[in-house]
Amino acid sequence: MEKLIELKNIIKVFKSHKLISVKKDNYVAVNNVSLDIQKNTIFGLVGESGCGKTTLARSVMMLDPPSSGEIIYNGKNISGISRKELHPYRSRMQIVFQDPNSALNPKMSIYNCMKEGLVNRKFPKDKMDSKIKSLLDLVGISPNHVNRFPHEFSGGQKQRIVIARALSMEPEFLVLDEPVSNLDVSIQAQIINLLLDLKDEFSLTYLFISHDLNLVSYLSDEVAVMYKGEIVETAKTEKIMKKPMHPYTLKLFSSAPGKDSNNLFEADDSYREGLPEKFTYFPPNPDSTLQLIDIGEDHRVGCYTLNGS
Amino acid sequence: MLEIKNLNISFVQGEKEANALRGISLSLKRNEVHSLVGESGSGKTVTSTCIMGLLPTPPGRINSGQIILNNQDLLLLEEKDQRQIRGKEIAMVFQEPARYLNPTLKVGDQITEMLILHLGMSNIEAVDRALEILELVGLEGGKRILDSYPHELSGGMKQRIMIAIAISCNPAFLIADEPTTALDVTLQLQILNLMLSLKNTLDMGILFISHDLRVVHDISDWVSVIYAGRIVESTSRKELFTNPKHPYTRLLLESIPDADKRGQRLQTIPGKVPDAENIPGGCAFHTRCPIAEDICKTDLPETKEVGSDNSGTSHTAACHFIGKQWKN
Ligand SMILES: Nc1ncnc2c1ncn2[C@@H]1O[C@H](COP(=O)(O)OP(=O)(O)OP(=O)(O)O)[C@@H](O)[C@H]1O
Ligand SMILES: Nc1ncnc2c1ncn2[C@@H]1O[C@H](COP(=O)(O)OP(=O)(O)OP(=O)(O)O)[C@@H](O)[C@H]1O
Ligand SMILES: [Mg+2]
Ligand SMILES: [Mg+2]
Repeated sequence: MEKLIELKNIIKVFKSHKLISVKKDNYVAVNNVSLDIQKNTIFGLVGESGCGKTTLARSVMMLDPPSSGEIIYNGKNISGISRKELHPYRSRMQIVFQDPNSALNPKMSIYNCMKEGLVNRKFPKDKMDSKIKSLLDLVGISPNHVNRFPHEFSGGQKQRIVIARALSMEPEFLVLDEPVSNLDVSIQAQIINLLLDLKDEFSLTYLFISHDLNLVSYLSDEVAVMYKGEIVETAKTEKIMKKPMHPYTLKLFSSAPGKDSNNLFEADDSYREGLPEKFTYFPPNPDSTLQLIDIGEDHRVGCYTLNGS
Repeated sequence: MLEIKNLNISFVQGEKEANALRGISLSLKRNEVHSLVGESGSGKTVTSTCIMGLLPTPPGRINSGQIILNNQDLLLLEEKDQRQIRGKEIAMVFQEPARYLNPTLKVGDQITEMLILHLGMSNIEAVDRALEILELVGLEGGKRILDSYPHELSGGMKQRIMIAIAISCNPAFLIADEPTTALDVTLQLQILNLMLSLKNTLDMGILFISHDLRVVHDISDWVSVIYAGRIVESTSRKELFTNPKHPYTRLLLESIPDADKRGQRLQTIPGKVPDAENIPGGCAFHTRCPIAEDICKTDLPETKEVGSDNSGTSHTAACHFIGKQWKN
């Protein structure tokens, strides 16, 4: 297998907007994240709200470059390069934003909004009309509605329009940030099936961000669990589904809807299940730094070295 | 009780008319979670924005219907009286928080504003209360959050700010439009538990709008299924999940994805939700229905009592062929 994306020690810090701010007012949203995404696979990223998933995705796309760290795309380090050099990568990587409103210009009909992208990649004018209509049709939006404006669509309809627009760019790498969270199961299934077909047909690679564990485990080849800006566990999907290790992963898995909420997993500080000696899941002191250790077959869990060892 | 009677709403644009709601009736009791489920575009948000008096008219047009609270039809009230009710009596968690939060105002001010306006708190009291509410909705780092502008918060954080604003004034009725879509499962659970506890302690009635049938299963007392602007089935949670009657409901329940189905294609309901400008005649679902017959193309099925158990729980559905079997 070949890597499409390599992230090395990505850190993203948001500066405080206080006039006089000290370092501790800054907010570290993504802390030292390293991961690889293999070509033509689906990489699932899960984690609690506010843990830094969107921030990480925006960094990967260089929309909001990381404060430090490297992004290697297809062997090329794109984190330090100029806007101009970055340009060709912009259309090869697309993102479906979590909030469709932020991706749709309210003053533009969806026809024009779709057209904008296609014109950018010099799509032949005479085929424009049918292309736009067929893309919208793929995501279940009636081609009769091309002249409508974003506010005339329901939440889920907008989400699908944004997906159609990302697909129109024929990207090779697609970040999907909660792409189906607003969709009911049936349309969700339709979109997921579509994404899987496209992946096979065009050898696409996806970074799939979702809080729906069922969906992520159905879809992804690999999964990473993020917690407070750091990756705390990553493995092949079957591995992590069968034997989740990190206390946060366990908690996440035990709180999925449909499960008995009285059996919520809560670990205490002494919980060290599955870790080699001298490691612990909970930071032994405030300065300890998280490390990912391999507990076998690329199943990596985040832990700390115990004091004194 | 909050009662919606026969609500019929269109969006009119030139000579085109999109019939978004085609006679919705619902009743929301206090101390009850009533879920409204249905596919994208079926009319859930239009229903709730109309209850809140926030439907833009035009292009929206209320063709008929009543929304009754305390023996008053909210649709007939003056705007200023409506505003009084909104926020205090009925509050709403919007599906798209980014659209309803003020981008130029710190979220802290947006919460305290409500407390000062509706509950007459002082500024200091309001800030303290705001911090408490943030904790209830699982937002850690209180002061930093209050001090942030909406764009500085993640999707799920904005959603929880929306919830915080909605519950800040202890409304009698809460309309929650997809309130947990942007939340991970642990927070989702926390929010659902919060809603259930508000329901119990404040006797709150909650209209819970969601497409996530698992969540609906966990939280509801009552469930109504909406299709193309009409309620097609309505009954208790238990009845709906164990004994669904309408073919649409039955298909919806079958398309839930889970890890066991890895590698298989997900089941979908064939065809698409009709668009509101071209709703098929007869039963709107007939174009996708596995058991449809000729009559379904022409005659709108009446909503009738279809319950089979003797418990006295009402179970209504609108289908000509309740109980008819189909093969896969
Ligand atoms: N522009 C910004 N300025 C300051 N802080 C920010 C900014 N954007 C994000 N943050 C902070 O970074 C953290 C991570 O946010 P992010 O949007 O990445 O979370 P997320 O994992 O995508 O959550 P969700 O699942 O709720 O969407 C949050 O605490 C948020 O407040
Ligand atoms: N301002 C508008 N102008 C024209 N049509 C509209 C407008 N607002 C909504 N509609 C249409 O009304 C129908 C119902 O929309 P609504 O937002 O209620 O759907 P929903 O059930 O909430 O869907 P979702 O689950 O995707 O949020 C849709 O077909 C939508 O396109
Ligand atoms: Mg996010
Ligand atoms: Mg909606």
